[in-house]
Amino acid sequence: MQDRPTATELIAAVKHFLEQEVLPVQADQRLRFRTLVAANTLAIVQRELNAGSALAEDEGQRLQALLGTQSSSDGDEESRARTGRLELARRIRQGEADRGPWRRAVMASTLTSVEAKLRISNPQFVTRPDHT
Amino acid sequence: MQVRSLRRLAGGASQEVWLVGVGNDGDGERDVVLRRDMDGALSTLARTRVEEYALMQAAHEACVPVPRVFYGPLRLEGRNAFFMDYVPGETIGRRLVRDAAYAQARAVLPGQAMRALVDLHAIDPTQFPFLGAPQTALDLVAALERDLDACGEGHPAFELGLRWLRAHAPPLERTALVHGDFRMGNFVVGPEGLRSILDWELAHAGDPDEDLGWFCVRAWRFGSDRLAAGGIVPREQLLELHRVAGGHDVTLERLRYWEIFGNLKWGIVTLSQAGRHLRGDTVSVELAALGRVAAEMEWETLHLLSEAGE
Repeated sequence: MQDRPTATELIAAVKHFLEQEVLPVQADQRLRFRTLVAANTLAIVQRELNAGSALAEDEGQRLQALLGTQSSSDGDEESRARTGRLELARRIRQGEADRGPWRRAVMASTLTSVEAKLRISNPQFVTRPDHT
Repeated sequence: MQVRSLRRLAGGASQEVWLVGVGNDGDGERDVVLRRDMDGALSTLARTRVEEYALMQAAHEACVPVPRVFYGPLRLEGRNAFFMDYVPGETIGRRLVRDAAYAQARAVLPGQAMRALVDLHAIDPTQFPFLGAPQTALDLVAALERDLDACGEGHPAFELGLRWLRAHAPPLERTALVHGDFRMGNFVVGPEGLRSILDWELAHAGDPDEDLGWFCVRAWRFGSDRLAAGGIVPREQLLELHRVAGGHDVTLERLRYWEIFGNLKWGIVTLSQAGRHLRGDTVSVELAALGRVAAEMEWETLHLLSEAGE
């Protein structure tokens, strides 16, 4: 347990510093760009901290359902999800998801996981326009 | 000749780009651009500055709008480098697809880009031994697999894309010099239209349709997502302009293949770039942040795959 500011409050303070104090006086274009990237990166971390461990838990459950594996008690949620992703990737490359019902399940599950990542990394992205 | 000023510009991720002000006493100053290799390759496909120099020289001779290169490739502090003309204008995609100042440019740019593309595809790639054998779609997919494996993480969406690309790989019907990074963001544009095509570091010998698909990748629409081709025209219109410029007929199906390929390529490059940071080769917040961009190409890949069917 730490005193306030919390981790997200500290990140907000650094983000404010970059955007309000560094950026306005930064003339160099490359450094301006990197400052914006840095501030955006902190926004990603903020969203990730706010989401907590729920995302990795959800992904772990989806992967388990897909791979038919039993829940392992080894490691944390994130490392279990990582192991599951590697296993799913291996099976896709072997051709197991080329067609049929398992392909549809893999496509749907993977899209759900990718959308969950995008809600952290770039929430605006998950709107697909009507293409012309 | 004296160097009067030196300013680092935003460049590719595998090279440095400098704006150099040069002049003689009593003479006016003019700007030239210095491009120099950086440690760490963009991907297994990246060209060196020596090779880029040769390609840009050939493009210039073929009347493709490119900055004129000069002084020959040289070594600067142990790294390959070359000089080229500074072409003033706008390169930032977001402005080009949106700002009213470029409305006229947007009207002519797609046609000019297709004309330039047809001309550059007519350059004989066999004159550049460093390009090696023409790469088929399957060769390129295998290279992407190797780059993805080097990241050491599981990416089911990209694996689905790679399987689909393997199953639907078109035969190499015609071989051309492929620019490899032909897109909004690599064009210098003025209010009147296209001025120059930059960044030849991903050039290779292969299927010219790859450049058309890459042009349509969503990442290069800069928010103008409704217009699939560079955020400025629909896909069908791009293919028509390509035909009008003297290019071969390209079907929407073939275009979609290379657009899916392009999403995989850019997605896996972002992972490789983040890897350079994670390994400590080039510590950079810019490279680190790219690791979280990959999910955008995963999402786009899954939707394009759904539209394409098994």
